[in-house]
Amino acid sequence: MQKRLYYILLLILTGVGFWALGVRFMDGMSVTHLTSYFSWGLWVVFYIFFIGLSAGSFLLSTMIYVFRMHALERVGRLSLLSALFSLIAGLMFVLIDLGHPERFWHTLVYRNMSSVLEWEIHFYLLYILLVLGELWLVMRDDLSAMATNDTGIRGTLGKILSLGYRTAPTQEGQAKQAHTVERWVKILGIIGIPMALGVHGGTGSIFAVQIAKPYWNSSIVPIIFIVSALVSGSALVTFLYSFFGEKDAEKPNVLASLSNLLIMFIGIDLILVFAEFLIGLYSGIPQDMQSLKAVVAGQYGPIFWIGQIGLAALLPIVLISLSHKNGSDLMKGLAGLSTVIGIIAVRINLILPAYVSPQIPSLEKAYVDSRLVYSYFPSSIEILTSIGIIALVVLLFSVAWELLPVVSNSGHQTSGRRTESYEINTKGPTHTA
Amino acid sequence: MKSTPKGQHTRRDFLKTTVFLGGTGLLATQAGVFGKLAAANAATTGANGDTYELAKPENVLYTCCLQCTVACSIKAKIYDGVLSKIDGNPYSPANMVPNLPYNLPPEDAVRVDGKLCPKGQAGIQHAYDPYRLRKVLKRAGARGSGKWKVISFEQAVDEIVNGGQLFKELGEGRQVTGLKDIAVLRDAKLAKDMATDIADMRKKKFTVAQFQEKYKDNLNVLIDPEHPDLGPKNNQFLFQVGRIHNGRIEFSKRFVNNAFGSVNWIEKTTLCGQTSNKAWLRSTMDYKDGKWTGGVKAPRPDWANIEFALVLGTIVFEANYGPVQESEPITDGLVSGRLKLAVADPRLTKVASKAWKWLPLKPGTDGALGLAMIRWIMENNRYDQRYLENANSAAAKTDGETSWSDASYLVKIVDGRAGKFLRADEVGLGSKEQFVVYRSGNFVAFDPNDTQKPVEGDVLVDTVFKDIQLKTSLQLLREEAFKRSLDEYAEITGLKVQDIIDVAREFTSHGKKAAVEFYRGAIKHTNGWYNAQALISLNYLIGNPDWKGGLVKPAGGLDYVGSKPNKPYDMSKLHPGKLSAFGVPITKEGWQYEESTLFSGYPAKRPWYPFSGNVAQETWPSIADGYPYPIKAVLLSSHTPMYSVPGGVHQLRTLLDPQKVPLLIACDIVIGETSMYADYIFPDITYLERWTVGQGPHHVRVKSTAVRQPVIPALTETVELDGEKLPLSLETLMMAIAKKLNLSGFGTNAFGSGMNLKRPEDFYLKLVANVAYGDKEGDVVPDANDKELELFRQSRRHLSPAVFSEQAWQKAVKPEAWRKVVTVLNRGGRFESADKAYVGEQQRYTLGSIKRFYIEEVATSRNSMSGKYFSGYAIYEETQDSMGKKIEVEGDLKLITHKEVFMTQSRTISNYWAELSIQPENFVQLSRQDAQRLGVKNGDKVRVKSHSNPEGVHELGNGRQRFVEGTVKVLEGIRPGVVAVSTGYGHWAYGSSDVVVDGVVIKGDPRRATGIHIQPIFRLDDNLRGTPLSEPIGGSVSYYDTWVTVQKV
Amino acid sequence: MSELIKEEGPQKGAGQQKVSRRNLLADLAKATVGLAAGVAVLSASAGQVEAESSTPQLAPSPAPLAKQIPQDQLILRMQRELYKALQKPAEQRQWAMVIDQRKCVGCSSCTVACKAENKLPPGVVYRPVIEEEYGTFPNVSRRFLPRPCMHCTNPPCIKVCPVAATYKQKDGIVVIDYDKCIGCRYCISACPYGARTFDWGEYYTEGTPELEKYELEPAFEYGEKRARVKHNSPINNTRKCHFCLHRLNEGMLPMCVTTCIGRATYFGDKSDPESLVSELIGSSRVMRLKEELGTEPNLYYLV
Ligand SMILES: Nc1nc2c(c(=O)[nH]1)N[C@H]1C(S)=C(S)[C@@H](COP(=O)(O)OP(=O)(O)OC[C@H]3O[C@@H](n4cnc5c(=O)[nH]c(N)nc54)[C@H](O)[C@@H]3O)O[C@H]1N2
Ligand SMILES: Nc1nc2c(c(=O)[nH]1)N[C@H]1C(S)=C(S)[C@@H](COP(=O)(O)OP(=O)(O)OC[C@H]3O[C@@H](n4cnc5c(=O)[nH]c(N)nc54)[C@H](O)[C@@H]3O)O[C@H]1N2
Ligand code: SF4
Ligand code: SF4
Ligand code: SF4
Ligand code: SF4
Ligand code: SF4
Ligand SMILES: [Mo]
Repeated sequence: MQKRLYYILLLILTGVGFWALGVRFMDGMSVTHLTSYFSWGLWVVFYIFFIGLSAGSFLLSTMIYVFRMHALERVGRLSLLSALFSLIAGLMFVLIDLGHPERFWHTLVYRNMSSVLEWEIHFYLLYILLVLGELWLVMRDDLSAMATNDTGIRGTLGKILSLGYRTAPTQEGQAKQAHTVERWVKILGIIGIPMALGVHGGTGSIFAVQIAKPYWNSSIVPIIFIVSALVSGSALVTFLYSFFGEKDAEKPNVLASLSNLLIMFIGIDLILVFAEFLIGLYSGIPQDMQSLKAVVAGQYGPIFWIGQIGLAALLPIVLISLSHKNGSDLMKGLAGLSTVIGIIAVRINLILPAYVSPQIPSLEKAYVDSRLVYSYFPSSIEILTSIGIIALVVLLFSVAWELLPVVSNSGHQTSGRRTESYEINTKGPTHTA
Repeated sequence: MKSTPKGQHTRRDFLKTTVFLGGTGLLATQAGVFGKLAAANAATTGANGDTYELAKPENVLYTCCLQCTVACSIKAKIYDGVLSKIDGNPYSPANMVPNLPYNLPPEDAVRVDGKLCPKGQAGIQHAYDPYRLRKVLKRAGARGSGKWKVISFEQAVDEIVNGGQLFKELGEGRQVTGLKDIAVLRDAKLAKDMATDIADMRKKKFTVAQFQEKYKDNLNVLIDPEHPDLGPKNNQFLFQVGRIHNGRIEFSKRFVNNAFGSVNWIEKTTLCGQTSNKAWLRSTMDYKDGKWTGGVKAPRPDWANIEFALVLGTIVFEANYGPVQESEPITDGLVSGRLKLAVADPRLTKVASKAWKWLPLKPGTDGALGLAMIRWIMENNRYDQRYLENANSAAAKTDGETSWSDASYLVKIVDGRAGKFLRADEVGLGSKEQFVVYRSGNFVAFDPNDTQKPVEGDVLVDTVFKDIQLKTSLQLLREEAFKRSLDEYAEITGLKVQDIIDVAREFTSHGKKAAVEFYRGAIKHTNGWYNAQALISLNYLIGNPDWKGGLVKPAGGLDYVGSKPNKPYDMSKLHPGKLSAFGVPITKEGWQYEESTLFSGYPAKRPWYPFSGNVAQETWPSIADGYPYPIKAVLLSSHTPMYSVPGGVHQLRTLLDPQKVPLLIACDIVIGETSMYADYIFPDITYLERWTVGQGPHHVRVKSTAVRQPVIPALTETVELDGEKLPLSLETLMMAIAKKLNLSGFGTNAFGSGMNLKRPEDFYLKLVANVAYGDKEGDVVPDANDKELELFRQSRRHLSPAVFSEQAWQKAVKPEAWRKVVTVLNRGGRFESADKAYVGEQQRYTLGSIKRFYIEEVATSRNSMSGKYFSGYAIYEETQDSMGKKIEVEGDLKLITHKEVFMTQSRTISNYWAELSIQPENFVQLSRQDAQRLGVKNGDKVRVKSHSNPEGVHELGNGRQRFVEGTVKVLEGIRPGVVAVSTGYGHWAYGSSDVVVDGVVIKGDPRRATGIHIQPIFRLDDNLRGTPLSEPIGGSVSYYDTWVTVQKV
Repeated sequence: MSELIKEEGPQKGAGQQKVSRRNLLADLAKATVGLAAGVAVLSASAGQVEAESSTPQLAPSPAPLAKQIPQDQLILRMQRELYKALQKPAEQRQWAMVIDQRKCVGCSSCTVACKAENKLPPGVVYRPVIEEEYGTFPNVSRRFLPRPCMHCTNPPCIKVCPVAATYKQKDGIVVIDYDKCIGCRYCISACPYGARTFDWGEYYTEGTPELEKYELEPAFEYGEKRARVKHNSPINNTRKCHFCLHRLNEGMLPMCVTTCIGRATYFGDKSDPESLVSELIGSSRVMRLKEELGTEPNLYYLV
């Protein structure tokens, strides 16, 4: 029943989103409340939010597949899957943000080596292939099992997605296969690390390289992007696993590790944010100051204090600390959820405040038009399309989660060092259940 | 209502949403009244690819701007039948200096673009205004209800001509007098005789009784046989007009004065620069045959060569006449170091911000500043004595001067008052046409125009001759100036003594290369006339007239009405059966109260204006008072008294009263702020669709005549009249009325046998021909060759047949004139080369003649209200009402108003590119000190109130009203104690609000309704209910004498 | 199919114009091909592709000014110099604009002229005139700063464009290829001068009784006739001042130069030492905006 409601809701939201997308494609960018001076808005916020989620999730997966954090093995596929779907969501947001989305292919054909965005788009595509490859590798045994054991849609899916791969019937064959997987996953993971860093650090650089926007124009920005990606990725996985992951003996341990990671990332993130603000406020470049003021005390204040500081930092820290005392998995999950939502605030405050002040003082008064202002609030179409895209991606993710062996117990474990010996996790308190 | 950015998006979202949902088209043209009728012929196909079509000569037509009144020459670039771009006409010295040679073929000129101001650039949006009227509207509710129905042109003309129960279906049973029952005097001879006798009656040479006796059979044509000088009933038809220009002036006067026989062709100029124009005119008049005649209404500084200028109350970079001509020589002078500027204005105008000295004087004290400078200059002997001593033409000539002054002329002082100049016959020295000066102990009689015998006079004389006390003009001025000390002047003006001295010294340190320039800010005050005289006198003191870098005359244009012998068409003669309109105009200008039969002691019921042109602000109050007589029908065109006249809305009740105004007809391009109250609105065409001939800007030193001609097909409905297809326009309306009434001067044989006036071109092309033939024998333009003729056709290929038909145009002029006309039309007029401006160190076109410090005819006239005599020389007077009662301080701020360079009056609110984007709303501009005192800051809403409008309300009619409220803008560049509100915003019609046509709601555009309209706040004259304070000599409305309070809402 | 779209266009004339080629469907069709091509490029080499454009570069075809035209005239002098510069190979001329702030009277005529010439819709402005008040009463001044594109020598806007749709011509003009531009607005954020604005596909007379035809007529930017109808570029593209390239090619000065009533704006080839702009750039009053960013504007101000 609950599930049905859940799907109906998602379908409705997706439907509304599709309608809004229709409007957007029919009428072009005029449906937004963006302006020629405030040129990026909600869609770009979600774009970097999802790219961040993707990069963060992926990096989490590399902890498992590259750095062998076995404690997190359970969530390896989940991380990869969320990396994939987040990326898709992110790309959909870039696409609808283009004035001429039908020309997206230009990015592949016409090159400008000095454009970070240009590089990023290539990165994204490679990165998608990589995530897909990795995902397939780690799931192929389960897919094979699905193909052979299941009937109906799962069986068909298994047949298609396994791409003809079948788990060897023999122990030894299986071991060999497992080894291959392990090796390839590791290789892909190693390639993937710089790629994920590139994906999101690079996304940060899209902003950081802009001398026109002092608010962005600092080398710390790409790093903040990466760290906050890690925050959001681990938060998402924590949330998903806590709420939807099968309850078993391992779960509390996994969650404990995850939440520890999360806290650490949040900590680093906070330090960086403070550094950025201190430096910005100290150097006092007027345009920068206006942006920072807007964030700390201006129109973006509530988003900063409630979203960025409250939801994305303090609340998760409190929840996780509490959960360590009472051992509640739910609280950890909530901490994850809160962080994920809070990260949206972080993304908003990364993008929008850069536009609050004119490049040349009084420019906004020189020629007055509703599209020539330094203020912005998303239009209904922007909001509805965003909800729609998110609903669609959640829907697809949910279906994948249901149909695919995302959290599986197929028995194959990666070899190598055990989690216990991995420094990050050992410090965390273990569960008491 | 304010259009918020997001509000717009919401609307758009909504519209688009319906489209997306499969709704009907985004923008269905509503009701057919608006919307395009004449589909432009898409002529240019440009099959050969993407060339720059606007650089092709066949896509260019030259015409004349009228976004503001400067009337620049423009170049209209047309593509696909649509006006695509407007630029300056490089043939014209008004828009390019030096201008292109006149004989340069248009195809060689086409790649050169002249300069233009932002309004001129936005002209496309004036013509292509979605709220343009296309068809005739008749009200379908009470006046001003905003409900209309479309009726046919024929029906509308029929109704206004024949009258009757025109509004029966609205429950108005009254019988409306049609025009046919107003134009009762139709006998040209009778009219002429009566007019002559009335002229004698004014001189008291003919009595009312004699008149009644002589015309006893025809007294029924008079408004009032007891007062024959009120004229015929025809005068009860009033044509009220605003921005009408040369050519259209003649066309409409031909209709109103000479066909219809009404004197009431009333222009708006007292809102405008009237007092300045009239003061200049009087101060530059010639003395011929014992009379003061001629004169130049707008002498101006020679910006191109001047070294020092004092500018008062005029914004030469923003308004004036106009920025396009003035800016370049001024900025050039400022940067090259040639020119030093001082600007006296309570606001830091754009030009003041570039000046050496900004004098933020108190409003209304320009006369005091002028007198202060005069005092210092005289005290320090820094005036041009040599120039001033010249008493006649011969004396001037010996000094190489073109002009001389009346500085040394002796004025009689009678009963302690300066009266007339002493005439030589009075003291037995000569004839009554001669004046007298005092020189080396002798009294010398002379003829001022004598070119042979130089006569000079002492300029400061106070003497008695044959028992007559005598003073020279300059002596009188000097005594006035010395009445107050510099400290007192500083106190009055709010300036520093040192600043006054510095400016006076600088002004007198550049020889003749200095001038004082002023306009509305200095003169739209109750004391404006005297302010003008003081400032004019300053110019004369340094003897700058006609000198390079001094005070010069607008060269003007060529004679287009054909009064010169070499002209093909003398328009004044080409009107068989022409009526002579006579009688007192409704606004009583040009008449001494004392010479009318209505004279009954002081005060008069309403003021009379012997020295003014049409007194626009008198129109509606006079109609309300039925003084001097009631009006039966009004045709209003290109003017919007409810919007532009200070306190004009106080006359709304008159407009709405069918008893006072039985028939109110408007001819407008939109439903305007005043035409919205009319019974009928006839659509007019804009300046880009119509003719007019004879425009010449002020700041051009060579002869320049721009021709305005249709450059796009008329957007109004095409109708058939007398066998001709014509677009609806003022001309078409007048021709239709004339036809229906069978008036003279229109239709078949209108100009004489075989010469019809059935199309506007029949009239206007004759004026063009007059221009083509030049002012002197042989000064004719060359014939257009075949190539030019072909270009002429090609460049008009997009015009509809109702507008352009080569045969029809050709028929309008003599065959030998046709190709000459084409030459002129192909260049948008006739222009002399800018390098002809000077001869040696002087102007080519000179003011010449006597420069008058003293206006004797004014000095010997009385104010019709107070009965007091006026002064003939500059004095300083405080703000007062018509009875001479001083206006006390009635608020804590003095209200002033101004224009912005990107807007024109009420007319540019349709200009989305310019007025609506450069500054989408106007502000209540306050100094930082006042803002602090009042506790208001930028963006606050405030209400403005005054003695005459203590609640700050603006009545809109039909029970609707709004408050006079605006947004605060705090400035450093404004004198504390002064609040400035620009005009051009705060619309309630002109497309800004909804109207209902044939039951369909036409939505207004909220973007046009922003800002504040300050007019309802202005101070009214307590003695003349609903009339603004006015200046009694030049007739100006006061725009800068109102005390207000500003209150945060 | 594209026929159909043509017919639906708000005006008949548009069908003849270039824009009809660029409709949504056609582009989508290309997209499929493009994707394949893109992958091919990707797999081949990622070497820098010279920023080049599909914008038809009209071969300059101006005629010299007629001899009778006055010589002693700033505008005409510049027009002659323009002609001279056009005779040279593009890489040997370097267009530059000089604005004399002491001469600028703040009329915004240049702003409006540019709007009209390029048929700029709401939200798009190439040359606003910024006004500022300095000082306190009674020592106050007002200053005006017209702000076209600076045509930077090191333009940050160009660096960021993901599809090389905006690039610098050999003669120094920074242009946008409307057909290439994907409308990502990256360049807008990147311009330190706010000189780029976006075409939102709006009309001034939208929502009034009539959508006026002049708004649907083509402009001539870049020597192309483009009507702003449907989704056609430049709708949903970024737009900016292009020094009126289409006029330069005809031997005509930029619109903002010819219309300037203060005669405050000058234009010409700064690589020609004889040119008026070269003379003015040599003035001690010369200044450039945000010099510290290293953008090296080709827009000089005299203060
Ligand atoms: N842009 C534009 N130009 C126009 C027109 C237009 O509508 N728009 N209209 C044309 C017409 S019809 C006219 S009449 C002319 C008018 O041209 P101007 O006379 O130049 O224009 P106004 O706006 O009336 O200017 C009045 C100036 O006087 C100042 N002022 C107010 N009170 C005083 C005072 O007591 N003393 C002094 N010294 N200054 C004072 C105001 O601050 C303002 O700057 O402009 C013409 N040109
Ligand atoms: N507060 C304030 N008020 C002012 C001034 C000021 O500076 N401040 N300036 C004053 C001055 S100088 C003047 S001259 C007056 C001007 O005052 P008006 O002459 O009354 O005003 P305009 O704005 O010219 O308005 C004319 C009306 O004519 C109509 N119209 C426009 N074009 C055409 C056309 O082509 N044909 C026809 N038939 N009708 C047309 C429109 O309805 C328009 O509203 O305003 C004065 N009012
Ligand atoms: S100054 Fe007046 S006439 Fe000249 S272009 Fe501007 S609006 Fe037109
Ligand atoms: S001003 Fe801006 S748009 Fe123009 S070249 Fe420089 S960075 Fe690019
Ligand atoms: S908006 Fe167009 S020109 Fe600007 S960066 Fe994006 S693709 Fe390039
Ligand atoms: S050069 Fe042309 S495009 Fe650039 S601001 Fe001037 S008029 Fe506009
Ligand atoms: S047109 Fe000339 S004077 Fe006017 S604002 Fe532009 S640059 Fe300044
Ligand atoms: Mo005026």
